[in-house]
Amino acid sequence: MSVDEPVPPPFAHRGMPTLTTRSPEWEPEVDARLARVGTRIWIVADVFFFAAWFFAFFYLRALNNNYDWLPAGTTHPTRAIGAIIVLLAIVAAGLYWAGARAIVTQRATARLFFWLALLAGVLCFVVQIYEFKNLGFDPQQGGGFPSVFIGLKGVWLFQLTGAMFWLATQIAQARPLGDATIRPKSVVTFGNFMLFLAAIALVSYVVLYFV
Amino acid sequence: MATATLGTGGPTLQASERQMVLPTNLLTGIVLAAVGYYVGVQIGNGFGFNDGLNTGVLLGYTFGSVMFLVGVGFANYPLARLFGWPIAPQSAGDEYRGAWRFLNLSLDHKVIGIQYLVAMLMAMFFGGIGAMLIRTNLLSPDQLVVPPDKYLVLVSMHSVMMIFVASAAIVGPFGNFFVPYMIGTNRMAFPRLEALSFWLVPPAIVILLAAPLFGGFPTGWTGYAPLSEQAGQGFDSYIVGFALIGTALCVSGVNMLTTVISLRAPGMTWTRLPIFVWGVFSASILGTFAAPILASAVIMQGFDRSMNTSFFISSNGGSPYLWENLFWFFGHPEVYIFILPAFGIVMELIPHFARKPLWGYRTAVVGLLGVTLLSWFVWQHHLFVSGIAPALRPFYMFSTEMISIPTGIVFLVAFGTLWRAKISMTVPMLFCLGFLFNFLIGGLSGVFLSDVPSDVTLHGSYFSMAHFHFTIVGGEIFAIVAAIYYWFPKMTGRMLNMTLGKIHFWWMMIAFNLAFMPLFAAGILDMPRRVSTYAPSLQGLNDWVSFWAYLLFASMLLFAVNVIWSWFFNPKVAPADPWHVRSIEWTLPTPLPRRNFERIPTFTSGPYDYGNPSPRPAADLGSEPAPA
Ligand SMILES: [Cu+2]
Repeated sequence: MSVDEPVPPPFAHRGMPTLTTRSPEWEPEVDARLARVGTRIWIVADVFFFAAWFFAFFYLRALNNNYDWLPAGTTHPTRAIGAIIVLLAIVAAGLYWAGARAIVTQRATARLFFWLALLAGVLCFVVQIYEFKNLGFDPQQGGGFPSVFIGLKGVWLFQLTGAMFWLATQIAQARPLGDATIRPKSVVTFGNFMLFLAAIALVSYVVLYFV
Repeated sequence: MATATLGTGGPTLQASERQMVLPTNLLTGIVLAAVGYYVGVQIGNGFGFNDGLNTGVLLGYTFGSVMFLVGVGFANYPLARLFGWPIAPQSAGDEYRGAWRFLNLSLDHKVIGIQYLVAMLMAMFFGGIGAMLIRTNLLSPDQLVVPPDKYLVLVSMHSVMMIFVASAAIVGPFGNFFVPYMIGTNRMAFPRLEALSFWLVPPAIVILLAAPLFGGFPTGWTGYAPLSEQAGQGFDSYIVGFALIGTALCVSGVNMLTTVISLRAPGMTWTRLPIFVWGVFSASILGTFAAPILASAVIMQGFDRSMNTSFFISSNGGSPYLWENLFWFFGHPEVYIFILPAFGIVMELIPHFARKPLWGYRTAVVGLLGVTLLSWFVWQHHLFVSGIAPALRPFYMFSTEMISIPTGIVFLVAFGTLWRAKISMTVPMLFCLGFLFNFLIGGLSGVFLSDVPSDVTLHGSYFSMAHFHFTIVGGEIFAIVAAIYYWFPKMTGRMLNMTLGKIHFWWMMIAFNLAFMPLFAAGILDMPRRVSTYAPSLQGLNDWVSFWAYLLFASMLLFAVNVIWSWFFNPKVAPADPWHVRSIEWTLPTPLPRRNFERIPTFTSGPYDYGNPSPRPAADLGSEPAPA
């Protein structure tokens, strides 16, 4: 394969992708491999990120400083709502996973699954906000459990939002000559992160509502 | 309109003519940052929390940083994806030539390396000014320049700024620039993440420098609760600054690890990896996985200070120990993020200038990875006198002292390489030897601090301050300076003046040791850290220290003059291989071509095969294109 010096396209912006390359190191296969390795590393890093919050949970719960782990009058939030959030996260991840598997053979089906996954994710977001609004306690009044509850769920929600944004870009790119079509393996890789977020939601649910 | 084929036999794509409304560049970034800050402050104050207006400042910094990144151009790619515009793998082809590219978002690892180098040197200058003010204040046993509370602010600014520098000043400039060459690739795994890791740094520095406008913060770099909870809005700089730097460390690590794992050229086996790459790799492991802990911890601080949660407030069910544990669980790996790449530099340079193979290469790798592993199990040595359960102390004492074994291996390897070698005393080599001397003192003094009985006496004194300055300044900074002298010709195409370099070395070495050695004595004589006054009997000692500290700063000014003069006013282009070494980056022409390798090289032997009468070349670079 011959390697051409890339020619800048006339209307490219810095940071914008360009279509000028024929060099072997930018082949979709290479990118897919890098995405797979990078996503795994990223997920492990994210495990450390969430580990800090779970550590805070068990540490503050064990210390129960000033008997204020659960301030007087505070109850655990309703388990049913928490369960809905977890279920929606799992459904979103599952739908995405199914869509990613279909992206090569049945793009229309994949797009449908992606849309449904996005819908589940957005619903998950909405239910979580609803839960924040109806906690049964006020984190501004302090307390170990309320702090960890708000914090852990807050940072998780932030990551879910980012994941939904990326999912939306996958939908936009799941068309002929779109990036998701050209690099289907990278699409599958992102499903690992969705599954990871769902798993964190599940573990958080067990810890925050049952422990 | 440019057209190009994507891959072999792939579909033909056409470049999109659509573009963002705003031209994205540094200027747009600054303007949007100001807008973002204003909007953030308004929104934050609009919540009406009983928070001392911290929410506004926190959101202001956060929005400002995000909008800065948007303005610089980081939103272009995600938005183009979202709009469904054609996306293709990023090439290096969309870069501007000329000096302007250094002030803008670039995805070229060479440009990013230089951006990092300049930013780090500037931040080091700011931190150094802080050090000079501290030493000026300590000329007299009672406060001279600033009142006690402002003295704490000064110490905090100096420490956090220098921690920013120490975290990124090797992997940022030299890792980004040279790792792709050393492993034989034309690309980084994630060029956008690599660029992001750099562009997070300027806002972090600006936000930190803004802290004094809000009264600064009194916590030092450790940010301990409850002091941090009580601090004014200045502490919000600490939170957002460290969140940005932590993110930079993490994304830089993901990029670097993936690059080294997946993009090594044929023949570049793990056992041929240059030891510098191993240093960067092991530091990246720590950065990738420790920085998220820091991010979590500072987010908790942010929640405490804005929404009035109580992660770190014991009267409300929280605990300051939670902060101390999370912080040091990050913080101890963090100090190895500083030093492992410095080990890498020293072990990389010594064989080249000793003209001998790196003695015990595999042992050296085991040493680096051993430090990487052990550094997760030692963090409570920072809490020996904080009231942790006494039964925990022996374990952490033992694990900390264990770390001197892999660290000792590094020394063994260095001295084994120097043994009976014909050492060429170039300036980079001098700084490496200076590193060995200084870090030996830094490391040995660390053993006293890991030892519980002596730590009980020495903790919080100038002894520990002298210890970590010997490791970070005498160690890491010396290694950075060595790396600059060594790689500057390849990075900039200009040699530094080596006569000035030799003067710089002896000046810096003597001034550093004479400034910091007496501080061990000051610590044993019970002079506490972070206090603006001291016993009058220690004034002679402190004046001596300040005198040599000024000279140390002056030696760095000489270095700055050398760098600026050689870079911008010296017309002479450096030879391609001024050191006559085997490492692959020196076999390439200077100035470096835009594309690293015309053809991906095949590595045929290790980088340190000196002393072999007929050595094979380190790599087959090939002149004709690779077969199809
Ligand atoms: Cu430590």
